[in-house]
Amino acid sequence: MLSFNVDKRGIGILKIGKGDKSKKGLSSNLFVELGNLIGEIEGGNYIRAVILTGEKDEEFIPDIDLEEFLKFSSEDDGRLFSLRAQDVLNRIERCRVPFLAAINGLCTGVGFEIALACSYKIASDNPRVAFGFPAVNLGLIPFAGGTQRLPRLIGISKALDVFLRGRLIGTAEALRLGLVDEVVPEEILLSIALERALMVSGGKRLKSKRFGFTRGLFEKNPLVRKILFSRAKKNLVDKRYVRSLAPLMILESVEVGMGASFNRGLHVESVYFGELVVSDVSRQLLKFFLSVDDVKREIIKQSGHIEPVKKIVVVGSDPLGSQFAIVAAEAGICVRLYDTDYKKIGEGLRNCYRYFKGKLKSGAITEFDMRRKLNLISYTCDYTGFRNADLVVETLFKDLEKRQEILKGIEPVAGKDTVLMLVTFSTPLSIISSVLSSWQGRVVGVRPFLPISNTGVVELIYQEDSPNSAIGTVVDFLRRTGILPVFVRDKEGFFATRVLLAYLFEALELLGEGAMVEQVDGAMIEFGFPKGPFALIDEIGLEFVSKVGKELCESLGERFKMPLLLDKMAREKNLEWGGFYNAEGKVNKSVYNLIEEKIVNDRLLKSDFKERLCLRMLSEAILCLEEGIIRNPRDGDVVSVLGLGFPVFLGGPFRYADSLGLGIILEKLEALSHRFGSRFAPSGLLKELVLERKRFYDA
Amino acid sequence: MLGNTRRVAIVCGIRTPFIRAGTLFRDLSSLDLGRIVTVELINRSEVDPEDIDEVVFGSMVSVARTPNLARDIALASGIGASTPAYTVTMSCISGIRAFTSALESIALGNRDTVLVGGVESFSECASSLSSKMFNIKLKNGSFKTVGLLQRVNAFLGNGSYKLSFGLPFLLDASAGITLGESAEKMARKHSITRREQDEFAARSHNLASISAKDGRFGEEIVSLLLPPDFSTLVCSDNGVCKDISVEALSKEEPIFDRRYGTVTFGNSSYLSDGASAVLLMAEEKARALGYNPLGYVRAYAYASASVCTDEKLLMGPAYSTPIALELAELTLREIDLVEIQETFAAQVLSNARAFASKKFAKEDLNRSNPVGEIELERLNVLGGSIAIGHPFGASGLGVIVTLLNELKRRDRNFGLVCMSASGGLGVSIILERE
Repeated sequence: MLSFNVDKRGIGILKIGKGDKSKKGLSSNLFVELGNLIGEIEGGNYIRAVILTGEKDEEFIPDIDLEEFLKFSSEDDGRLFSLRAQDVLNRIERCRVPFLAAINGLCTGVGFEIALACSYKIASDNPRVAFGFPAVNLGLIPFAGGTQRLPRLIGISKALDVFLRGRLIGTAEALRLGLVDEVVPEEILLSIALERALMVSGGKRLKSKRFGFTRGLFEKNPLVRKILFSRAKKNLVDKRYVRSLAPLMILESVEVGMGASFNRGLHVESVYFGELVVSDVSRQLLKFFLSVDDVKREIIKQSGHIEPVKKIVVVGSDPLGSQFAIVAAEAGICVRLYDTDYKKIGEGLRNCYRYFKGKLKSGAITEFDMRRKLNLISYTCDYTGFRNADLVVETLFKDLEKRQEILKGIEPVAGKDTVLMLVTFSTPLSIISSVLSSWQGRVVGVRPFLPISNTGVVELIYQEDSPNSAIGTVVDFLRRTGILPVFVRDKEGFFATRVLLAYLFEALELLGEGAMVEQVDGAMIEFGFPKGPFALIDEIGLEFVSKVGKELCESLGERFKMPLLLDKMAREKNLEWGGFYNAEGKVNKSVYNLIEEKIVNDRLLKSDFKERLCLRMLSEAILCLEEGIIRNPRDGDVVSVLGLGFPVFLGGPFRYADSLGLGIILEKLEALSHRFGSRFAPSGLLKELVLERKRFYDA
Repeated sequence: MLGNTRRVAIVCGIRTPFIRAGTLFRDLSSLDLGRIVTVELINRSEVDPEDIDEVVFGSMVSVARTPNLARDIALASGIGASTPAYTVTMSCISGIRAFTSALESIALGNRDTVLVGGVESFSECASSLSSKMFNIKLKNGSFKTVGLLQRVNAFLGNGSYKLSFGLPFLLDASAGITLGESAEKMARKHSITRREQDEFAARSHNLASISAKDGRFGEEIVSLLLPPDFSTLVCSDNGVCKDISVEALSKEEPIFDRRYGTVTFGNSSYLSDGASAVLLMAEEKARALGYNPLGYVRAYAYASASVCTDEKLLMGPAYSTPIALELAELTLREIDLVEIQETFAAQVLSNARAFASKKFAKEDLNRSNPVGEIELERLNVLGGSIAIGHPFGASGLGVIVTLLNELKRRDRNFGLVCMSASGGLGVSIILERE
């Protein structure tokens, strides 16, 4: 894990690495080893200075493997780990031999903590270099003194910004804040570091930048500081449904540390870290991030030896099509946008232009980048430019007949290796591609989640006979555009649409029984969804919900029977009525006029909403697993959280089911199916698991 | 063609619509225009960008921002960085110069596939001169306004108008006169009347508008949606006037000589923006890849007038055509369609006269027989630059593609493209479909 070499001038170069590439991160043993090494350095008298640096093209120092955190079984485990880390970094800070950090890669988490303890910090100008503490995203806090060192270096308010928002700081800002002492071109980083090391060891004091006098004065004022902290605390409380205590605990460690002393701060930090690392929320978050990581690793393995995608044709320039064009252009892939007339193409191009213009305005890209990316998108109304495309992305999901007709037109002009990627929300590939002949073997489907660049996940739909090369091409395309594919079998609704529709239909049932729109939405937001089911229906469009619902009902039967309300709306052709919410975000009262009789009005409770909606989702998800639509619970959880907005701190439907206890779920489902009918009927798999006292996950 | 060299096929060719400078393409640079045609050509020809060995572009007005325009276009179009690219210039025939340079390297076996393009953006050039006047004029570019403004400007004694107003005012540095004045002298020398010029101009407009209506340019013109809102579709040349009569044209005032002059804005071409591109391949390569080429180059020749003054400035084709015909082992009779680049009606008619003139053959060409007569039925049958505009770098390639498509439509074999450039330069290219 540690590699330490000393040159003849007595300058030691220390690199901390995973050692083995297949490992996910450093082991928690790091601090024991590091402690021993410091002992040796202190003990000997031939080392004059130590330069800490990372391997080329990797992180400065990799983070601790998240699985190590899961091994802690009690608060004390976490606290002791934190105390040891703090001790080692204190020793680095106070060591007789000066430590210098030559930062040449991403510097987050443990790496950032160690860098903070070094007496002189030089960063390379490589754009990959950035500083930050992503721990808060996992419901954790820095554990090796970071909560104390950072505010002392860059000031309290900036530090809180980094801690609480998980924000990354680039080199330019880091230099301005005094977070690093120098930023130098990448190529000369090490030679400058050596030069500085010789200067420091020669007894010369390097001028180190400290944050401004006025800010120091300002933040040293106890009254100002108090206001600062109380405002930050209020901001946290204002976000009503903060599930994790981590932000609050960071705030308190900083407050104690800055108010009392460095050591008191360290103490608070270690206690809180111990508490958090075994809390339910952060355990679920850790497990979830590990699952996502797992899926990513699988994908990288799978797309290893595939010819990279250079050019795609996007068929259909509506917003969905232009989103695919955008992510492809972002990844530097040539795009040809096809639609039947130039007016539609114009709209698609406008979307792309606005997207990049927005990025330009926000300062994320330069004008040059914007032009270069927009230049990758060409357009056509005829079938030119298909033969050399590696991939045809067909997005006309709205009208089956029209899409089949267009596909038949494209088939003869497509190249012999061109893969067809059908974008579909519920219609199986086998149905859409039934009109194709020579293309049959090279069809792969994708069920996107909108907006695709934000959710970053899709379901990748494969057929039993889909060849690996076709799947590989699509996986390569998705990987390069930063979208995570999760494999699902080709059956109506796949996984996510089925789970989503079950949820939405249940919400409509509730409405039909007399629940209020804002009550149901409020309950689900409280549960942890970013928005309620009715707001979601507005976003998707009621018409589309009912169309997909009909498809699912035909193939999957009674469970997807149209809720009476939706059925009624459909019959009255009232689907384009403006939505459950109007433009100002108020509930559209006219929806209640459609409800004639309130069936079980008095028995509806808010906790009931959550339970019914949630159990409906869970039971559908379990059914998908039983039918083999998804390969394992992990995939289902990843899609549900990233794609459908299932609360991440619950870990996804399967993790959540495990944490509730499958027996209880079975009981509740049985009770609900007595009251509401077969749509709640528990699946065979669930019964079996309960009987065998098993869970979805082993750990 | 060139002894025992390889035959070169024109596989595919396209152009943007040609647009009056300062109007629709105001905000597109030459790089933008060049990229658009290049990307489109790659897509339409379905050529693998990796198969392109070289990129050559021609452009008359180059901008300091893109000193080697071809390279910038190639890189912006997704052609690999390992493909070399260069830009050539030869005033009004820069595009053709790019074409023949590429042709030579293929014929000699140095290259198999070359992407050739031509591009001209006078709007860009004007905005770099930041001449406010120029922009005002170009935005409402009708004949009348121009005449009026020009007169006002002349009245104010603003000398810079010669540079800033339209094609007839382009100056030939070595002859010391403008192209328009040269055309005026040509007309006098070959006794071409005002009426003849106006008739020819009207013919050009009418043929071009009929051809556009029949969709004869359909295959070669790339439709463009203009940023930033992409709601304007540009799919045809915007300078062509529908139903223009000789009478209307005859009301135009002469530009240079109000009493005795004949050259007007109506019977001369105008500054335009546009780009064109063709894909050239060695014949065997094209066949191997399964292409059915538009046509082949049978012969070509450059020549220049014996003296570079006054009325000889735009007479180049009269000198180059007999050489090209000789190389092709053809006579003018055997040529099915002829295109003489229309910079001025007077210039086309003068060249046509010179083709037929025994005196010209004897005195200027030192040949016993003239090249021959060109009947109107085979001359510029789809209209010409007087109607559709003359983006110098781009128009030559556009004419080649148009001619080949028209030969195909008429099921004929031989075509002749003649172009003149200031400085007395001329080029003639003989194309064949079989």
